[in-house]
Amino acid sequence: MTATTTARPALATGGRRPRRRAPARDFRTTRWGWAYSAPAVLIFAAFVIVPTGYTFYVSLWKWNALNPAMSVYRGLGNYQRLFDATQPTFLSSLWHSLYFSGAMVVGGTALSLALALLLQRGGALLNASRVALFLPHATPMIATSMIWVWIFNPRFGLADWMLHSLHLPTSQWLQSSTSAMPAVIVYSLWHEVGFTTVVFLGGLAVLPNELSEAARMDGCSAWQEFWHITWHQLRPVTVFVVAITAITSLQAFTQFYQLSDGGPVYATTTLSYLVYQEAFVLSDTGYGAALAVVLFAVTVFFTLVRRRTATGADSALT
Amino acid sequence: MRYRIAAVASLAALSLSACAGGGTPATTTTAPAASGQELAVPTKPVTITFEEAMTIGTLKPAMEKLVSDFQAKYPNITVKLQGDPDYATMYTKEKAEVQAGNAPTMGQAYESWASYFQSGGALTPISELAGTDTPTEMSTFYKGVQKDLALGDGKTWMWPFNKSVLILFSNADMLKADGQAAPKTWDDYASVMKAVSKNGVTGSTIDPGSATAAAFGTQWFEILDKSNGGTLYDADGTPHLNDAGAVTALTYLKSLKDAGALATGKNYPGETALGAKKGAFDISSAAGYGFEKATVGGKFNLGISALPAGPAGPVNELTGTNIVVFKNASTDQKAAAWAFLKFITSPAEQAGWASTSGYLPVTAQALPLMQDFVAKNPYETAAVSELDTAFALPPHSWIFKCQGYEATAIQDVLDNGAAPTAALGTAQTACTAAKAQG
Amino acid sequence: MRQRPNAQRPNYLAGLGSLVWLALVGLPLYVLLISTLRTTSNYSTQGPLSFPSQLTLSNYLSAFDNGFGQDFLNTLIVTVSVVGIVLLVVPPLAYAIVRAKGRTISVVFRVFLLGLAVPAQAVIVPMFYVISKAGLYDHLIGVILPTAAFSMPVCTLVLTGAMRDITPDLYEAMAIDGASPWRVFRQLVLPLSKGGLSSIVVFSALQAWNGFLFPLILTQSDSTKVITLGLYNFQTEHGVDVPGLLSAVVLSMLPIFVVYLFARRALVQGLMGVGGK
Repeated sequence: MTATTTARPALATGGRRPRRRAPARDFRTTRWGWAYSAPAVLIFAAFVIVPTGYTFYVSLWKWNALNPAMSVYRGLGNYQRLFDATQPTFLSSLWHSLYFSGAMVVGGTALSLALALLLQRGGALLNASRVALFLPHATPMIATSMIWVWIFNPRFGLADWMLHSLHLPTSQWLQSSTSAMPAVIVYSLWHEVGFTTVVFLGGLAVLPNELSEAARMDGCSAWQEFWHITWHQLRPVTVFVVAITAITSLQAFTQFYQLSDGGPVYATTTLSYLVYQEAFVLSDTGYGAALAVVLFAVTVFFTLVRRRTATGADSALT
Repeated sequence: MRYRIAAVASLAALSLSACAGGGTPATTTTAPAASGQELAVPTKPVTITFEEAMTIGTLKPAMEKLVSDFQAKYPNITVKLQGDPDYATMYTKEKAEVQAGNAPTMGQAYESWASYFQSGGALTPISELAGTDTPTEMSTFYKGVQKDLALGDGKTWMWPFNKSVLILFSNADMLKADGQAAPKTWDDYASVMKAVSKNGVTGSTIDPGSATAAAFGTQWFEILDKSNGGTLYDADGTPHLNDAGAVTALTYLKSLKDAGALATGKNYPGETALGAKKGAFDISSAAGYGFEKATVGGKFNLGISALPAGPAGPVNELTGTNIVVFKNASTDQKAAAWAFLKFITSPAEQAGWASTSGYLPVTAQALPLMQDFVAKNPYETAAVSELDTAFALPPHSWIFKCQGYEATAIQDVLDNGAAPTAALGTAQTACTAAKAQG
Repeated sequence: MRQRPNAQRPNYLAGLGSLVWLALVGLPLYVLLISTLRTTSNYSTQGPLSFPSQLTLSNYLSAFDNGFGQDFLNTLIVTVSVVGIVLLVVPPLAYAIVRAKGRTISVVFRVFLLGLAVPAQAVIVPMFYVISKAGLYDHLIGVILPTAAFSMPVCTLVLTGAMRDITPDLYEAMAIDGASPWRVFRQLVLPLSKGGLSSIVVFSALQAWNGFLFPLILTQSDSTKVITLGLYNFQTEHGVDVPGLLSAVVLSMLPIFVVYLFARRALVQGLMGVGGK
């Protein structure tokens, strides 16, 4: 901040010849990095790292939340309980997490890529849907979940009414163990796809056109052009979308809390919902913490697997 | 209970290890011997807080009247209401506040919640407030209510508040048009339900509850079990969730469902279906009268009757909560809280509260003071008489989880078509494990 | 949104597809709006799509009776503060990560990325202890700090991506000119990462506005209640005031909707930056 040239636009400085080299002031050779990162690191440490470490610690105890002094050390006892628990079993909640995340990753990525391509290619017809595109994602999940509870009402709901009007078979939606998870997925796609579509649009907007044009001159069909050129070029963006969708769906909570309460019969009890239920509702804090550690490990595992398979160019994304 | 952590940001995890290892003296978990001295009402200004789920929604006027009457009598005491929208949220908040060392003076609590709080040393026993474990006021309460105030140690830890029983709401016009009378037994009820289930009408829609919250559907199952002669839980909390009575009860529900006379839903589905003329009956709390009336909105005559009876006679279950006084309050606050508890259960206040809220008075002495209300609501007499016999589940912390397992079994049978024996067997296993965990 | 120059020919399939999407998005919102204009007793007897026979605005009034104004103000405070904190601390961090040498800073970056894997509900109990021991329980700041902390990993990721796009030549030029790191940051890095900055504003604002779990656990009074919790006032014991609830839902979405209409381009452009190059 030795302000001799402050008013000058930064980019213009390149043109002038230096009087002297000042390597000591190059950021990369100083230790000033700490000063720049300290505020963020402090907040992050206090509210993410410390609570995470604490969760590891609590997971070793039969934790008495009302009075921690009365807690009893259990070692790995809470982790052993993972395999003894019956209602729900640990494996079923892990499976529900993977079911939900898998559907969101595959469905969400495919749907948003398709929508992005449609929106990019369609003409004026589409202006209205451009407006609508992002809207669901901007609504509070808790608010729109409440609406979808009524849409999914098997007796008075909109979904039932529409299928009925079209003479299609109806569903019990959230009221049955088989259809509850698909119903939650439908809602979650409705809420999330706007976000990932915009990310894809961003990727499409900066794609160079030369390759596509060359392909078209070579007589490639639209599908071939997409498959061999566009899709390939979009790879870093796709990797990002897949990673972020996987992480957010493994951690999804609000829609399960509001739409299905983890039921019926634990059919929508995912690991991330169970963590909350055990730790906070059922006051089984130590067990809940052990589940949280497992959820953390599962998420890290998927992140690492993805990094292994990603190419070097985009590994900075996750 | 109160310990300090010097550096929150970096040392929390480390210093807590010291705490958990027994660095602070464990608080007492048993009721101290009664002092024989009742706490005197404080004369200097004191503020007490009350965590409740009444002031959000239609019960606000009734609740606020209790408070303003009390404050008029004791001008130096201020009662601050901390309203929560529903019981599940309230329980979460109360636990959070106790953990934060920020407990309210008093809070509404179910028996199993009170047991959990007591196990963590977070409650004040009534004996510390009244000087005796059995204050004279208790003898004026209905017998079922009296029995509902003790915890597992046999001592009194709760004071009654919004008590009610279940009653049967119906679409009187629909029943009349079909030539059906109000059912007297559960067998009658089943046949009427099946008879009216046609043309898009389903006899009744219930909320079976969920793994984390019981609902009226759960309580209906508990009532059916007892009216079949079953006992879901011994006094010490030992579960019998797959005994004959329970299996019969759940099989009964299943047969109704299979006949298309029963549906399941969420968020007071019975009320919605009844109001939409898609249901003939709704089993709900007597205190739900105002809500039922609003939903029906004059579209038809709302019928109200006592619950049908089973082979073991008429059975009803208490609904609603008690009040507990938390431990961290100052002596003045405890004294003020005790004055508040005695005040709101006095006959005059109970008469006013019951007439405006729809909850039942906890003492028969209130009835002569609310004759207008009783005349307009003929079900009231029958409902309060059931307060003498209505049962409550035994007060143990794991019952909260076990009710979740009951609800899950009901869901499994009604929504997934599972066999009642198998579903209840699973619930029994899980509940036994929960009891062992404590 | 930039159009590809060769995309002018109308694509009817695309048009149809987007109309279906429009219906999927619009129908729930239409039902929502219509339901708020019905009276409590007739919302379930009429078909979900039919226009109500009796129009009423009483449901909106009841939303305001339930303290919606206060909730709105609290949510606004939380959102603005979270965005403010993120904008204050994340850009310097991202700059340090991109430009500073040393093992520590790359460890810091890795730790922040690991933070992506921490679900909020997994740390809710410890978070509760930290907040209450710090005396922040039931204060808005106790919601603001955790919300900001939890939006940091994604914001850091996005912003470092944007800053890596600045070519080394520009840094060299400024260094040769004798510019201090702070001046480089202010005059070169910040102006050139505008896209990334608007991305993190949008992201953290949405996180804060729609936040539910932290307010649920970390606040309790009316004076600290945010909109997402206020919605629960309509879903009480014994009954749900559906039209009232839906009116509050509409009101809770309205500010976002208005911002969205006016700032759609910036919003969408900001988010487009998220995916990187």
